[in-house]
Amino acid sequence: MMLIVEKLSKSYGKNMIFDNLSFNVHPGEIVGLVGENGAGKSTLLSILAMVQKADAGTITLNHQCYQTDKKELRRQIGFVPQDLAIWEQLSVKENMQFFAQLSWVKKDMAELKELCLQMQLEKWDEPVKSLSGGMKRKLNIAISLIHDPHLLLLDEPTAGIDLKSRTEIGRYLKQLASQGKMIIYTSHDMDELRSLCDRVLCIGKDPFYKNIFHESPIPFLAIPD
Amino acid sequence: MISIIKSRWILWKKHWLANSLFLFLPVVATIITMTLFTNIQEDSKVPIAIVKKEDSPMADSLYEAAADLPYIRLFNLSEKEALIKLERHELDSVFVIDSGFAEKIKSGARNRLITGYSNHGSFAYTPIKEMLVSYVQTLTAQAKTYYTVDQMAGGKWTWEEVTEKISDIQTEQQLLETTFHLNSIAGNATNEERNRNLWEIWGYFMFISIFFLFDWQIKEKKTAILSRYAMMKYSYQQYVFFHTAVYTFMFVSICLLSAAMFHMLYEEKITFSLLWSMVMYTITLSLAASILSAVYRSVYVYYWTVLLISGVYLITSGVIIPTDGIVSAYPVISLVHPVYPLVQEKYFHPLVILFLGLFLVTQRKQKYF
Repeated sequence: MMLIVEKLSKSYGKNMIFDNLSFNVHPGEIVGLVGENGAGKSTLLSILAMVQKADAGTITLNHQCYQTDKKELRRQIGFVPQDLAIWEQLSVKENMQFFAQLSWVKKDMAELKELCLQMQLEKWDEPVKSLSGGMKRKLNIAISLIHDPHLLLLDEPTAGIDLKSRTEIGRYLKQLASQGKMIIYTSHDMDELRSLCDRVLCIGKDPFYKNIFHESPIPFLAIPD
Repeated sequence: MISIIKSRWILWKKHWLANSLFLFLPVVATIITMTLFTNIQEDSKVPIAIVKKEDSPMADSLYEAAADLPYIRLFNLSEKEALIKLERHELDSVFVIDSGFAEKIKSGARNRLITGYSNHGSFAYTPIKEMLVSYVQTLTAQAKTYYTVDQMAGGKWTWEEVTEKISDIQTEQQLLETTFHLNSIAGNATNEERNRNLWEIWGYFMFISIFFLFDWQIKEKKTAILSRYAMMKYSYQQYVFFHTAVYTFMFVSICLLSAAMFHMLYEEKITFSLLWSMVMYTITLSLAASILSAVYRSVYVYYWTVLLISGVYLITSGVIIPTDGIVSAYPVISLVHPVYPLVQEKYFHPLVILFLGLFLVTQRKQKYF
């Protein structure tokens, strides 16, 4: 059970975002994704989440191919978008209920509440608009986990939140990885990446990130220009 | 489908008051509008007084014939009181049934049976006078008939028996049926026209209700949330398709409720063809609203567009101004306007096929997940 990406390419018109990108992610592994703004981190996550299509290359997850087994793979991927993908007017409970209704798996109220509690998201009946940024981010992640995906893709999930919430989210992601889930994670916070990730994948042309992680104790995979 | 309904309910109940107001708007607003129309119609009736100086069945029948006229508000006053009101312009005209009216008719007299009064502002005097004269002629004709029968039968039948028999024959064979119009007042409402007005008004409010409630598609088109559909059981296209079906089902329920309410309040005859037309009209509008709301990203721009279209709808529907002449000159209007098949109970309409095709094409072309 693993994610294998081979010779992946993507361009917007004449602007090549990345070319010949290959890597793999093993179960229980947290892989950080770094690079300058515009390097293609969000694009790569969108392709892995099947929100966008690659121009070339192959992706397989658990021996199932993205091109041919799309419907089966939809069940195995969880995607946490950079922007909050939640209903502000609903409460935490209603948000979980709403997305659970549209999910692949049926979960009762107790299971949904438990999922939130595992993330230290206790304000079950509070309207989302009255929650702190950290709580909203936790809910954003919790919704992506309703269908219990094998591969979790997080696009800057801790952007703009306090240290306590950030630590709690990091702790929870490690817990998920220990259960065998594959996690790909983008962030601009070096300390967070160092403390959380098993490996770091650096994309883009700016040597800054490559230099930083070359000096880091974390295994580092730089994508050639 | 149950999960779609449950998910819709979660979002719906957050704005239950506004949503319910718009959902029941076609029923409530149509009843209010019809009530207002009836009240205005009552207020705009021409005030006429008939003074009965004689208390006889013939004088009563003349009074009742005048009371039955549409657009006439009839008062039974004393002569003095009626003339004072006429001078004050509180009455349009006054007609006095002089004493000895019945006897004069029976004796075949036709002159000076009724005295009419008008002022310089009276505009209904002439048509009312003509109606009364016509009725008096009917009564004198009955008198003539009685005397002829009396002579032939040699007093076998009484006056009452002969006149009753004449009335029966008139009713059965519709020998004398005259509808009196006041030409200066537009629109002489028959039952058919009244029904047509009801469905035109209902059709307009149904249009408003459906298009405004379909704003959900714009509100739920948040880019971040759209990306979630890539990993959900339903793609975004399926989500829109099923929710459009749920909304359409809700509006069809409102059709049935409307039909039941109008049957109770206005004694509307509910036929299968009427119900079918209502359902097809609702499906047509639901598809159109779904297509339109799929195009927009801002709800406010959408609302303004809907208001603009509803204005055009209102003008061309015949609710405000009669459009029969325009429609016969340009039959294409009845082809592109959904209300005409509704009021004529003529569905199946080509618009349904057009909108269904467009709905499926727009759903397939959307670059969602």
